[in-house]
Amino acid sequence: MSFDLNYLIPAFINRQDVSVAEFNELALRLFKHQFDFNSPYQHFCRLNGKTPRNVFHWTDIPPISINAFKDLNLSCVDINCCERVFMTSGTTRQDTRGRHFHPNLDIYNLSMKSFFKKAFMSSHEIMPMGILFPSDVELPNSSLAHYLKLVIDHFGTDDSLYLMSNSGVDIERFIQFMNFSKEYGKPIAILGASFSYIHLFDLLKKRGLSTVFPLPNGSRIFDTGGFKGQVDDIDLSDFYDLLTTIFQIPLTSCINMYGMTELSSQFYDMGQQSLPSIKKSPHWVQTRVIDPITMQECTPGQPGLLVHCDLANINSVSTILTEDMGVIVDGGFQLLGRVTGLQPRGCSLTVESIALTQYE
Amino acid sequence: MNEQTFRSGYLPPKWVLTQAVDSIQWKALTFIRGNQSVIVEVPDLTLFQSDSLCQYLKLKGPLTMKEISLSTLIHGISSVILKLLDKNNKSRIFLNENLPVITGFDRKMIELNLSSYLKTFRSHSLKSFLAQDFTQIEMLSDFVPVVKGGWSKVKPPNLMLHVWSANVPALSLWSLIGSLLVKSPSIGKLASDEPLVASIFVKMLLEEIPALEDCLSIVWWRGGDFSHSQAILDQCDLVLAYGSNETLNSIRSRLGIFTRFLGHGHKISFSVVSNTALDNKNAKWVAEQAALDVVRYDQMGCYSPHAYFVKTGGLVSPKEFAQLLLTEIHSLSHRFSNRELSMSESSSIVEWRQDQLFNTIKDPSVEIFGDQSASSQVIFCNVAMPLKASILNRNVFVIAFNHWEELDFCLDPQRQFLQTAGVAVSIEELDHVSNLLVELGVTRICSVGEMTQPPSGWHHDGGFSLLDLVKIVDVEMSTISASERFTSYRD
Repeated sequence: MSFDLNYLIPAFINRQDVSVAEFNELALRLFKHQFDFNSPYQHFCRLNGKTPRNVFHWTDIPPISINAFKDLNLSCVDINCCERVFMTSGTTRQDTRGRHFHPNLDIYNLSMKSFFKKAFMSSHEIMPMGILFPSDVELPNSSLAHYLKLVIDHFGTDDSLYLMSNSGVDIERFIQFMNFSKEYGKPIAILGASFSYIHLFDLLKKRGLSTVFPLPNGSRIFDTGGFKGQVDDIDLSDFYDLLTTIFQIPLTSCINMYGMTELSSQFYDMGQQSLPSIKKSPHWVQTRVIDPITMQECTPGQPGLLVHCDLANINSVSTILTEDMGVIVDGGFQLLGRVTGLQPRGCSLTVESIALTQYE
Repeated sequence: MNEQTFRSGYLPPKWVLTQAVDSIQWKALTFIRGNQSVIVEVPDLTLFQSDSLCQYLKLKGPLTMKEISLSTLIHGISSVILKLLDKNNKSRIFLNENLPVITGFDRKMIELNLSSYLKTFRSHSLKSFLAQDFTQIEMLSDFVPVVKGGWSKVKPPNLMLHVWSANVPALSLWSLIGSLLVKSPSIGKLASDEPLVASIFVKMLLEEIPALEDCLSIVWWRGGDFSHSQAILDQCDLVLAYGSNETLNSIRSRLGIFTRFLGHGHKISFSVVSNTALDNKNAKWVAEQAALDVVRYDQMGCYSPHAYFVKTGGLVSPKEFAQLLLTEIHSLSHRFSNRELSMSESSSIVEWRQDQLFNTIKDPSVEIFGDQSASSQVIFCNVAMPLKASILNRNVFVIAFNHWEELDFCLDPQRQFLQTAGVAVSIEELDHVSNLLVELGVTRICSVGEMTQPPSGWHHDGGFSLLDLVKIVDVEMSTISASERFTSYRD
């Protein structure tokens, strides 16, 4: 079975014309595999009254919340045999970090490369890449660091550079890369976490350096992660206005990637010309929106919680209940922000504050 | 859509005349539930206006308050309360219609709980309030002889600020009525999530006692934004605030060192059920009462239970009690549906319930009663474990324990947050259990079923409802003895 899936899923990813029925068939097969071999998930499914005997459609697969990656070892193989563990940065529950176990990264890498090429590279095979994020050597458990390493290795020219380390943005390297891009004259790309750009701009301002770096025509800017918990109240449209002013590129060349440690695939938009942008899924991921009260699927246009069924999540759990609010629209889905947890309504102590006091 | 707009808040009319025409801004707060929408306009004063209003109240309030007798105040407050208890009263009808839209609570729940809450403020209860805190009520208007010798008199604040929260509708009445009873002029800051009851009460009270028009104000500012309200914080002698510990901290940090601060922050409450209460005759009654505590305002009060600690050894086991409790909560749900939840709240509940599921996977002593999408859930643990906060909204823990001493292990970690303990124990156990709970930091012990209905005169968080608002000024015995020397008729 496992061998089958290790063959079938890459084959599915590599195909261009797939039907919903084929996705469904493979999703159910993967569900049965994960039910059989991922024992905490099996327990979870049984508690929800779901087994492969009564799950007939991918939308029936019980979605597990991202917190499960903090509490349980969600893996179909012995976790000691895993080549790589990606860990969350722990923005919501400070005490524990979610862990996503990967026996090997073959399918993760295939998924990443296949959709990145289509969604970000446009007609280019390779480009010089400036990376505003620490390397995977510095952050071995960061899925984003690994992702950006794949970008440099497979889509970057030899002129590509890391412009940031664990100690922050390397401003000299950034200037060096900007000077290079001027001479180069052909499209380049800058990729990094959204908050890295804010650090970069702050640093340029502090040092009294120029804050305009026109990029060659056709260049692209990539950001991911948003600002939750990192920088105070930055409006997305202000952020992208800043990017387009500084780098002198159109909003259509600013691509935002939406991804999470708990998945093995990513989502991209086609620029920030209208916000919130429309995110597209690769054909091996199906996204739906559920009403958290009833756990039933929302009608198109009705906002709810995003649930992703990612066939590349072969070793953990395919179907993930996120903390992200979204809405299904023509051509994909829009992100409406993160659900920030129950707001305290007065004098009864909340789960969050009690957790804080316990770990203070 | 059925839409209603009205003005809330209260500003003294004579003060308003001192302000430039149309200079007072009103902020519209919009509430939408289903096809009903309510827009409440609240006064949003500038820094200058806030300062001027405080000066006006400090100038007029204390003198006017002195002129109004305590019996007039009691009679006035009680008359308003009796009107609000009348189902046909137009203000009560208005509250019954609009509070569900504003707060999301079920209409039947509001009707029932509001009535039982309002009863706490009828004339005889107000007198209990006073008697609880003052040995001699005359102290509020005159110097009276006291046991230690000399005389004492109550000095209320010249101006008191109330910062209200909205977890339970009409919460504002506790402190507002308290301040009236001690004759303190007051400014109330409405909660953005329930900007209704305090101002309706004040408007009705002014019909009863028009002289109070220069003693009170009800205003609003956005929570956490002190750019304009700092003027109010600067001028009040006493600030009483309800809210999260974060809110209280931010208010306290803005007060002068001589401003007194009474903060009612986040608390956690629970119940203890003895095996003696779990025989065939009583177990169902205990579960019914417990369910009432859970369902009333969906556990939003500081006195609402997060968990039930149930002692083993009864005819009905802790696990059976957990199932019984869930059944009772469900049967009450037919009468009182759950509060309508926001997307963010319901997502948190889904996530919390999944976390509990993961606990059952990791820990075989934990079991869950109730579906993932049910309106309520009971999380049962068959060994003693430390008290944890529930996500509220009718989700509750039932935790089994074998010996009273285990409560120390269960409750000690939350010692600083404990407030109410609902108990179902035999009279022989009551003294022992109460002493144990007091040592753990509990400040109120009541019967199961009564947790959300503290009586008039209760000691909120262990403090005094009225006495804490005032200063007691003594004329010491030495003064009286010495002044005897100076009489014209001395020997």
